[in-house]
Amino acid sequence: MTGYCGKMLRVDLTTRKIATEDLPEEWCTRYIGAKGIGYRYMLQDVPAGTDPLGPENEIIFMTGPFAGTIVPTSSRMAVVTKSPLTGAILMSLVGGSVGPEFKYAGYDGVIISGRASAPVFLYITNEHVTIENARALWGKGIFETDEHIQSKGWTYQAKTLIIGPAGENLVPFSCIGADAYHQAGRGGAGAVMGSKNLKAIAIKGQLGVRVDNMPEFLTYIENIRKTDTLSEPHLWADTDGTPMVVDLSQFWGILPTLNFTAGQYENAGAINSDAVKSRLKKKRACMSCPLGCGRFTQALDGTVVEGPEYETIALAGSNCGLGSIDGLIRFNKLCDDVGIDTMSTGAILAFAMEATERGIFDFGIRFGEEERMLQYVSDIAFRRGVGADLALGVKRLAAKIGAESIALEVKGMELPGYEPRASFGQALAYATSDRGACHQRAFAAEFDAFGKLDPFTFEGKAVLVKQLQDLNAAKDSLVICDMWRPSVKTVAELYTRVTGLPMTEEEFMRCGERIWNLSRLFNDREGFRREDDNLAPRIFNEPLLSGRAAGKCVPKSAFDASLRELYALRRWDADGKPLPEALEELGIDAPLLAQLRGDVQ
Amino acid sequence: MTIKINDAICTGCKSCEVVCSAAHVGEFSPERARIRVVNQAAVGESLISVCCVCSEPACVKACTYEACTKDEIANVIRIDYEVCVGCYACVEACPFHAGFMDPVEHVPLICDSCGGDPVCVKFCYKEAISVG
Repeated sequence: MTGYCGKMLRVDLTTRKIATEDLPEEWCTRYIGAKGIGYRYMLQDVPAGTDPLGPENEIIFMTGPFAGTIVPTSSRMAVVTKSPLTGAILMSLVGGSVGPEFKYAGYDGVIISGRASAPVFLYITNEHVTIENARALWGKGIFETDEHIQSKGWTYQAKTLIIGPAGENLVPFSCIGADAYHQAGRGGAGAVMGSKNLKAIAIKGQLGVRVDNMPEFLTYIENIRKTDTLSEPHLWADTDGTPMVVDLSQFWGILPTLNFTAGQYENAGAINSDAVKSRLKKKRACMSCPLGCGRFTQALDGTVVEGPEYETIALAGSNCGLGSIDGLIRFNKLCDDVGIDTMSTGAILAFAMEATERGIFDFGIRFGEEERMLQYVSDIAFRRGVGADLALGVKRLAAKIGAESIALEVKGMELPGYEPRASFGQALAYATSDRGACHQRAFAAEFDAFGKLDPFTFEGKAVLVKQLQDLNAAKDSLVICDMWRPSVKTVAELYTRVTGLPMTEEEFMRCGERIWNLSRLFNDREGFRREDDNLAPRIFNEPLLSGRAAGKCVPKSAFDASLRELYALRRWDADGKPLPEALEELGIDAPLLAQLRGDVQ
Repeated sequence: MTIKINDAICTGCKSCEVVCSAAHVGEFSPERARIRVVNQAAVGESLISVCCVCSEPACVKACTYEACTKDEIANVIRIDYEVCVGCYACVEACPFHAGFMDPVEHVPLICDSCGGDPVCVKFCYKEAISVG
């Protein structure tokens, strides 16, 4: 077996025990890597009902077989844990060069449990793993912490995973900064690190990742890069990056605006790709990626950030009525520094703005107030004043002040940057995503709102969403970035070339379905049921104000029917629980099946 | 031929490091590459370091064992690993920081231009590294 290191690092911060264990080969063939194997570890290690911020919860940094190789867009790594924001399973992907560095250090992944008695950071250099004092770093921002680690001779040029004050203060939507400029953003993985008193992980690896027949492999990849990755359907990532989507979303009326009341934003032109280009400093790529969708931008006041990406622009820009690219760059940088998710932060600010404007509750902030937004970002991270309330997240805060009607979330995770009333496919995808409202599990909008399918019907959407969820579950386990869409045939071939293990197109999709079922099993165990696969009341009840979907709502009965259809396709029961015979048929491994049967008894 | 670099268009993807190690040591191991990219994220820059073959190379002068020589015909720095004692005088002497230390074999690593067809150039889609 090549590609994989075959070794996992396990660190218990309570007992300070550091150990390695073999990565089961059976898991590699059944669950591929990153997302799939991360989920499998969670099901094995973390008992039902575990407090996400308790020492029993694990945080798993898991790579896939492609990380560290020259396979295009393969540098991403999964952060898997139980989310403090949703209580559901969480998998957040992060790019940069940290994933490959884990492999170069000789590990497919690192599993961290327990809680250190005082702030620490973990330092990994090949087989030498130490738990270091981080008292001096506690309270510092992500950029300053990274600089501090880089400035020390012994950790010079180490790759880093760092939390900011938000993670330390257990904000449930705090992120982890990777190399300071990439983020495992959604779902509060930063708070899980914070709860463990783990300020950072620094990694330096000097080992290698092997594949069979290297000279031929290099020629093969060179060809794939030229003919596939760098072909027309992907080049927008190079020329524009994700901000390109702003104009598209505006055109098709799917751009979240003023807390998801409208589908078009009057100042979209001030925050689109051209606006980002006007502040462009340099293009930036993750490791081994020929597409390079990242952008260093510089605001007029000198602030430099990698971003803002589409999701940040949509949720903190149009959704907050902030039509200023410089404002977004400043917002982006501040969020990255204190360590909170730009998406959920944009969403909670928009919620507070609407609550204030409607007189539901006075949070002292109105749409478009840039300086106040920036102040609240810090206040959330440090849980100061109003920030203490906003740090609850939309779902908990709405319950507290009785404003569920203006809360836009699924399973506690705030909606991302695509208006579901303008894409019924996306509506179903949000409702059924494993970690709460997420566009990446199944980006159905690409096929209806932006594509050829009718966006205002659920017909055919269950089939589409299932297919996309399965495909992405498998892709997110390799990992291949969303920016590259190779055919399943190419991916299966790549898998075999890298690992030496057999893989067919059919088996790859089956792996995806298997992995998707793992997340369902975890969430089922945590008490998530049919009624949690739902959408916010606004999406069902309030017609959208502008754009192509103006006047439209998502019809509840058609949505329910589509959900039933999806469950049937997945061979789940009416409550959304996977049926044991279906799991067996899908090839879930025997020990897990036995464990599940034990749970039932 | 010489390898030319243009930091201004480098995206910092390090494909060059990854394939350089693959071509020379048979595995993906950037720490063993003969080219390096340093990403200075705070200022949004990426800097490429690779041997561009000086007319009067400091590395050759620094080597007291005559292991490090300049091949004038192929225009490349050569290290005779049979003679090299791994003192890294050549690496330290390079004013461009274009020599590196192999953490496994404990010998200096300097670009050998892959015999005239550099693999890094093939994988640099931005052409930040080119052959001139």
